Amino acid sequence: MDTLRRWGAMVATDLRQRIRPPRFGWLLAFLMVGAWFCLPETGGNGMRVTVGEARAHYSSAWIGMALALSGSTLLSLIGFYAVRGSIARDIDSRGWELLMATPMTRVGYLLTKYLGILAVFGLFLAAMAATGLVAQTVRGEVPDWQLWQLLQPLLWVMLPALAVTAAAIVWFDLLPWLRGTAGNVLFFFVWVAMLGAGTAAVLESEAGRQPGFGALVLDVSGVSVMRTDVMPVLAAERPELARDSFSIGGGGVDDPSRRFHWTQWTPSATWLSSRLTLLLLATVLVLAATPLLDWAAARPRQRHDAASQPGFRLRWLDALLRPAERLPIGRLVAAELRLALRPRGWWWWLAALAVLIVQATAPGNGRLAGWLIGLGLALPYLAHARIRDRETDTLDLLAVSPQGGGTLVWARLLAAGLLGLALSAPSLLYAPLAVTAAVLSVVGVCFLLAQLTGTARAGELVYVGSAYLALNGLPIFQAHSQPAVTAQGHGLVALGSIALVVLLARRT
Amino acid sequence: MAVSLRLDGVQFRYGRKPATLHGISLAQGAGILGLLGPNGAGKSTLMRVLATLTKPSAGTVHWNAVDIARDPTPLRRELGYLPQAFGVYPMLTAREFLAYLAAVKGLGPREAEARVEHGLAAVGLAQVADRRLADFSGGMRQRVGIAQALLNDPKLLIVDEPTVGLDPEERLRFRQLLAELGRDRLVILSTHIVSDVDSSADAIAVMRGGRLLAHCTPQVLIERARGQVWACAVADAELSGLRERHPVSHVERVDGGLRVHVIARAAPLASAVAIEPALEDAYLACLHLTEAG
Repeated sequence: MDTLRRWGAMVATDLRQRIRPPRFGWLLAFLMVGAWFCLPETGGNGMRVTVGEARAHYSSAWIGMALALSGSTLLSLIGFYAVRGSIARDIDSRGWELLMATPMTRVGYLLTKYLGILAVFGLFLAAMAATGLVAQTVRGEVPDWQLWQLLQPLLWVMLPALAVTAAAIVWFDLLPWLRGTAGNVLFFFVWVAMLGAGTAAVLESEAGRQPGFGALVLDVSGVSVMRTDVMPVLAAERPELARDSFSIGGGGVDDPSRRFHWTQWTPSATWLSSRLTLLLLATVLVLAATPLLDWAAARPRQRHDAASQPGFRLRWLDALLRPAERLPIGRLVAAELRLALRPRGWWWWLAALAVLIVQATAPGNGRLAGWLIGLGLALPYLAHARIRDRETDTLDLLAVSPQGGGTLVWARLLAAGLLGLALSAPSLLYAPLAVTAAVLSVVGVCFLLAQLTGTARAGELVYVGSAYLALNGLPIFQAHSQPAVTAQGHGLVALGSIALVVLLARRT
Repeated sequence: MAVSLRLDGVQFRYGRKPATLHGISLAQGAGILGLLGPNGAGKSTLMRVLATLTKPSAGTVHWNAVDIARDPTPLRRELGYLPQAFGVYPMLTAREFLAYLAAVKGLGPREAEARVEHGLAAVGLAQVADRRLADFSGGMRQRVGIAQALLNDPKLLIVDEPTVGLDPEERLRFRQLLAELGRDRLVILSTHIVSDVDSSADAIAVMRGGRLLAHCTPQVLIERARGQVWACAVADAELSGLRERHPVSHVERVDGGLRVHVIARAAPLASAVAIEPALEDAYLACLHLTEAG
């Protein structure tokens, strides 16, 4: 009983700590707007969930399913960046030592942290459900509320997927080298791999047959439910629309003629047990981290960084920056560049050299990849520079200096721009204007997101996500192939975001 | 150049919460002003107002006749500030960190180099200046904090609980440093440890509950406490009862019981005798008897 009370108190405290900052309210509001956006009115635009070439009328069951699938695919990614950090904070602040000096066990600690993350996800789920009910009323396609039908998909489809994200958060917070930017970048690819592998496992199962249990478990986002439980209903009612496909996305208008009725969902025992198995596996994954806890907790971020990244004195950099130091802003930029580059270990310099060579020599997509990875190497500085003072508790020291406000922000923007341009040097030769505009837009967006969200993760996610999409053909960073369009688009983003950063810096 | 700080009716409140500073007024020239008060007295809030980190909700603060809320820049050029809690960049060496802050403070390269070396020497860190801050102990980081506050040769030096984490030798060195600095500038030293200021302060300000209870020289504070500090012998079992009735500033074990110093308007026990107050007694008398009165 004592143990349960202790766990309950920890989960409640963890939840309180997370939901009290105003930022959480904004996140919840953002989520509700997103959920609303997933349920567009007939003839309207929005992010629609479709099966085959149709969607069901907005019944409670379909709304629940549409929200659950959007949540299990997208929120499992965004949730990681929005919620991670609690264990890392305990370790870095040594708050963990206070907890471990109590009768709390290591297993109990990790489980309560995991449950705390799930509780936050539970709030997300509740907010989405509430939005779904409002949407059902407003859209009025199927007016009767069926609360259990709405909640079922959220519980069985979305929650296990978010449990896997929660387990990943525990691991990424524990492992010292994954607590920062590297972990944030890596998780994006873990998520892509998870999504791809799961969907492929389901789609590769023999046509006309139900996917095997293994494929169902591997399907973390739960999209298999469309094939197992929804497609048969569509095929029976509208066989002409029953293609073996499923999509979450925008584009096109919601066509009222492509509808079917789906008001009741009773998940099959096999499918349901695959979700419960996934939930169990996520919990086991958390428990498997227990033996690492003491080792990880002995490595708070600062100490770990200092030990593992000896960095270099970089006397050549001093010589290079000396002329700039004649100007007051130049001194600040030089100091910022030293701050950005001195902690970098040999592997960073090696990687920088490699991406410069790739940019200079590789054709087409190789050059693009080299450039984007190069910018990625600057990401730890780009994403953190605007909020470094808050992260390192140096805000008061800097804020009382005559140049601690706007001038320092300009110096950091300049340093970030120079760093980005240095890592894009060969690309600059091919498309100077477009590359410069793109670098500055990445800098501006990273600074702005850091300022607005108070964390570096939003910038990291946006950059990694857009770089991934660009490498998969989306025209986001096509500086080499479409320099004029890129220069124009990124130029506007750069101007807008940097203007906002400076404006907000003045206000604060 | 003479320096002057003047506060007129300074109030501060966070949003709709109760005020944490209630109409603080005082004027102070060069020297060391010891700001004393228990935890939660409002010392750190006042320090933040003086350091231009927050603006007063009401009232004004003038530094050399310039309103710092309207124009903080002249003060910031002359300000050295050591907050109660602060962080460092652990990847940098002490010298690099100070050089960075010197750049932010707007010092030129030559001046910055000289001031960084001066600061490092002043706090006894010259020998370890090229070690990373990640490897520094808490006390060493505190000394880096003191060094950064001295970088621009400040005319107003505000230090909030500066001796936390320092060993006795460093504490002594710091007090000597402050005494030297206080000759031609204003040093405001906030602390709840009276011994930090008893030998060096030119003036004492005592705060409690966001109010200024006293602003005078240490001698005047001591003078006011005369006749309110009592020495008496009590048995072990009597001490807690005595503490409930009066503040006790000193307890010493003697043969057959305890000898205590008690703060009270009148003799707390028949056997009590009035004694010459020390600054700590005077501070406690001001804190408790001013409130009672």
